[in-house]
Amino acid sequence: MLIIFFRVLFIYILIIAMLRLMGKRQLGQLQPSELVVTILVSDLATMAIEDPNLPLIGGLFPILTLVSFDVLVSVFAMKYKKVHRLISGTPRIIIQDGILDQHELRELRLTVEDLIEQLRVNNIFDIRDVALAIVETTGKLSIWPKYGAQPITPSMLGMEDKPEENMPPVVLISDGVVMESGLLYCDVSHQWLENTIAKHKLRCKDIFLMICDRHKNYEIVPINKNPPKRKETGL
Amino acid sequence: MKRLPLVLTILFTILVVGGFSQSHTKRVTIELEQQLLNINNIVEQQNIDQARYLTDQFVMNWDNHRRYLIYYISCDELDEITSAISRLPALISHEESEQFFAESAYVRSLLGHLRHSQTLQHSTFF
Repeated sequence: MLIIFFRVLFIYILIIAMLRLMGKRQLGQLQPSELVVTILVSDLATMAIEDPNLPLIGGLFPILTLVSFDVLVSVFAMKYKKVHRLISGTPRIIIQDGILDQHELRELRLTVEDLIEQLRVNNIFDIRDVALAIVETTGKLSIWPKYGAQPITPSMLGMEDKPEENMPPVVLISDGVVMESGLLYCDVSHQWLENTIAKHKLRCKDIFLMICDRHKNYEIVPINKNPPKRKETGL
Repeated sequence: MKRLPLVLTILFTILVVGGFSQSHTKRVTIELEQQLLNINNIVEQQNIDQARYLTDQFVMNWDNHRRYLIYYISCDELDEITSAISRLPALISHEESEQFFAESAYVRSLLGHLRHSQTLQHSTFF
């Protein structure tokens, strides 16, 4: 059991290091080559953990080799467009100016149901509203709606852009703990925070969440020590 | 681009370690097979005391090599050889030459298989 314990620990640290080596891109969107590496690495790690008869090096080397090759391939793909196209493919336009490209759809083996679902996910319910729809190399559908179907933005209304006024609020207190980075962002002191909390007759440890923006507009959610009884939803 | 030198170093290390492990296995198995053949010759000459001494040396030699081979070869494969080798001293002690030759041939075939399985060649690659 001790062997398995330390092997799991070792493999866990190794996989974390390998994912860091592969880069942030890996976690958010998987290119085909990265998907292959992720599947294989998980399988190899399981083998090395499960079978204590196998030398650890037997699991370690394939993982290291795979990840190293993946990094090498991504370096080549970055340098040479042809390699990138070979490994990841190219984005494909499936709707242009409201007209569906059935040939591309068949090539991508994408059903109309899948397409309509993806459009709905992107808040498009009428195909005629789409100016451009592209299937990205990751399989994600990117949509650019026609001008008439685009949501109104401040720039469309000719409103002046004031970035400083348009910054989102950040967390100042999370589960009773003061976030120093939040204080810095909002340019407020501990003293201001304590005074503000005191106005609500609360202490820091009584606060579940406190958010604040740069104009010192804040919202406090106190800790609820008596959770309400769950209602049956009937689902 | 810090990752590139790192992965190149990793790949280089893997290739070096892989090459070393292959040549180490080859050297060890050939050495042990040679020792076994020598013991066989001595047994044929009915020099039992000398054969017993050399067999004990052979077992110790295998145990020493096994300690390193276990880093990159499956335990099951090594255990099979260990159990076959462990029978050799008893066969010598009981002066059962024919059985000793048979067991020795079996050990040599296992060592040969081990060498073959760890060597990069057409048959092992595919």
